[in-house]
Amino acid sequence: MTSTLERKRQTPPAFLSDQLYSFLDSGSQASVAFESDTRTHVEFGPDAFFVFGSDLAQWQMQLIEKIALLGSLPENWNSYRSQPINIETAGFAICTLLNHLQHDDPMPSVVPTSGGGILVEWHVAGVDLEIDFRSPTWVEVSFEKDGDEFEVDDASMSQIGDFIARLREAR
Amino acid sequence: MGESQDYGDDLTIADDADLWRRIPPWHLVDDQNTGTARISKAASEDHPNGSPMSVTLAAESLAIDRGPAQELEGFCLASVTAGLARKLKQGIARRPLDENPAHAEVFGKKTNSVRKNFSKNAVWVIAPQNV
Repeated sequence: MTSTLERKRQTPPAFLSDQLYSFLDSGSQASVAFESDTRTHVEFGPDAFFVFGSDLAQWQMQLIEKIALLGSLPENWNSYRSQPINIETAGFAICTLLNHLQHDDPMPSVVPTSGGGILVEWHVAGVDLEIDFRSPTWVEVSFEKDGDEFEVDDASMSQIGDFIARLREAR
Repeated sequence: MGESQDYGDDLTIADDADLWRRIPPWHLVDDQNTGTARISKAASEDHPNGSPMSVTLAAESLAIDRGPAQELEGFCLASVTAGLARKLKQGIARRPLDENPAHAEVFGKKTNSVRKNFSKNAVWVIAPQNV
């Protein structure tokens, strides 16, 4: 718990710019103005990209790129009529994870879900932690260790942070 | 999802019947606890439109000479039994399609626990290394 609070104090108030993501206008990236050289943009499929307002560490870029890769998935990517990944859900997942993870935390697996959401999973140190971003407003968390299992529907930011802290403590 | 009155558990599908489900490479995740790749629970969901999870009845597919290799290229293929589905409070209904006469649907609420159990208990028909 302490580590989570300390981390929040160390974290800049907004990792992402005020405009969390931008859609390309008529395919012209030139339509998007960058206010400074430190801004970074990461493509999310052919029509959109994320804009980040600060320099990002290598682990942060790795995580962002893993999630952004899902933007290229077409409809029916699972052969069972799945939907493309929702950019708002992806942006929310990125924002949440960047604000709770630390540089030495293990990199999660990032998995698309059929309804256009993103499931982030860790199976390490005897822990199974799954954070299921179903939409930008609905997150489900599952945590399993030593046979004890906890599930939270509609998880809050602090609950997500607490479960990540428990994963950290187990390592 | 999928608990409509239109659905009834088809008991002519035996408990030991194998149900195949395609697994996209995206749904293989690293499990450092076991040192193997595991199937994400994301692979065991109903359709986004709410219709139940699709499977193929293995025996019926084989009976019409439609083997595992005729599933989609680039996908793995996993199998669970109808008995497991029923233990998880699911039912199975035949829903033949033109392109897959052995198609069936597994209906019932796909809770976190149900999805995890499907993934944990699935066995490979076409394993990742063979895709």
